[in-house]
Amino acid sequence: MPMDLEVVATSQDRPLPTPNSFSKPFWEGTKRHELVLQKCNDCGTFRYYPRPRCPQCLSANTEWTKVSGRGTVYSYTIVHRPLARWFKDKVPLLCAVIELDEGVRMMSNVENVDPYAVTIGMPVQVIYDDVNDEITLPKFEPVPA
Amino acid sequence: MRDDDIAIVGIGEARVGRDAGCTSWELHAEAVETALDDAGLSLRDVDGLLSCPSTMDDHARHHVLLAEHLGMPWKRYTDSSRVGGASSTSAVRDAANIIRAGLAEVVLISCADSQRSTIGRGDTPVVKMAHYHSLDYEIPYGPMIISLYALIAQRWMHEYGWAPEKVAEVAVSQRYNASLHPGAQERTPITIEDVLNSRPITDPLRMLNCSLISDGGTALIVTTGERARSLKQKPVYVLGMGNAYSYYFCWNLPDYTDYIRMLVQTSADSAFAQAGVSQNDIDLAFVGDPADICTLVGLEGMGFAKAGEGVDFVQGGRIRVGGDLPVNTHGGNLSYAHPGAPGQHLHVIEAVRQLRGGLGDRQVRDAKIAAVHGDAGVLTSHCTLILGNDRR
Repeated sequence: MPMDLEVVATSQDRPLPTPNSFSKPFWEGTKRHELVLQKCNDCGTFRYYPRPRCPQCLSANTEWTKVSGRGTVYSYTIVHRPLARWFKDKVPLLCAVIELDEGVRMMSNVENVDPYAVTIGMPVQVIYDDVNDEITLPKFEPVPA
Repeated sequence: MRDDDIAIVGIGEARVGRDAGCTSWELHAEAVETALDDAGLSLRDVDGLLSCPSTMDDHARHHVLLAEHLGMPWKRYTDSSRVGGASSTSAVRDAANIIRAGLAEVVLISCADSQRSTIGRGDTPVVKMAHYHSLDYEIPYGPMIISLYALIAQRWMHEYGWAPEKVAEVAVSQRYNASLHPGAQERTPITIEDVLNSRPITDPLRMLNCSLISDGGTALIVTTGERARSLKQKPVYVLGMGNAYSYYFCWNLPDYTDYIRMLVQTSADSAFAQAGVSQNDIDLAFVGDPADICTLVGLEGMGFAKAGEGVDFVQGGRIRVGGDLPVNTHGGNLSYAHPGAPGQHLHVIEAVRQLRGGLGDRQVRDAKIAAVHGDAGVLTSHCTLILGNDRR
């Protein structure tokens, strides 16, 4: 018989990111409802997630650049089991890998849509989930037809 | 014939399966005791120790703490292997390199985890393992680790048009193999319909597409071929080793099909080349299988199936014991057990058993060479071993 995974975590708290010395501008951006990514000033490569150096050329010469927030669903899964207790009443939830028009990939949720209607290649745009005064999570919704 | 042969001379399992009801430290000790007995060696013969840290009982110097728990009187070399799920296969590679470098002669590898018995008690394995992923850029969105495999499965099924009922054959075949092993956690045969009707976990993966959650300890003893030939068991030689490492987070992989297949291929090709064998020489294969997709990816990457045809390859019982290429003859992580750190050690142990022979109904006839592929970090890091019961 399957094990009972009803209780997967003791914590009631919502898991949230912790901005650090180099990721702070990203989270400040989402707070003002802007998606800003690091762009390497030497080779032009965008990167996500925030890192101190360019993963293409190791350059530290970086510009935080506002991006379109548009992209497509590269892959997705409908999660039926809560990762932690906080997610208990959020499942089924749609986790997706979003490919932004700028070429980077992000893990996120696609919301404002029936999870079963999401498809690979679906055009999506960024939305902002203002969790608290410190944290706004970038999420996505389908681009209206 | 090479004069730097490396062989596996002892294997041990401890309470693999449901609720062992104890910590990983007890499981380590039991598995080590069993492996030493299997090899006909004592702890005093062992001068190297490699540990695969338990998810539930990790420590900054896990290998030293383990040595202290085991009461190892002295050792010339200790370390921990930290390649996630592939730690246990990578530790075999490390042992071989350590022995060839003359840093130790007899290396003990010990893995143990108590993931199942910790469910629902405080910080669970699901949450502990979430910490291995990104607390900033993944976890706030709620994917379980198995969801990350689901993202990859979804993409393969999309690109190649794989139907769930065809993919389900992997789980059915693995359960068949497990039914032949008295130690498997799940032995009751299942059907394609059972897989398709099992409860959804993280689409497209249903419960029977996913590995089990288990407890258990495993140990291996590795030494020189020369020493091996004077010991109790028929030596199983490590003929070839290969690796490929890429990204940490699977969503950073440039693509989910060609790129992952290329990683497996890079790892497997090195191992095949070192062993001087090709796919045609392989009598049975093992693939670490936290989800059924890993088996299909592994079969393609190792060159047994063509790109996009992994799912066709497994139809008609071909990966069952008695099939053209038996895969995971113990039932794999899907049906034998998946205790965490020791998960893929179980594949190596079954390979050793098959190459020693005498397994009755489960025995692959004339098994001489096995390929074992370990994956880690959601198919981002890879390790391949070629094992054989004859020197080459």
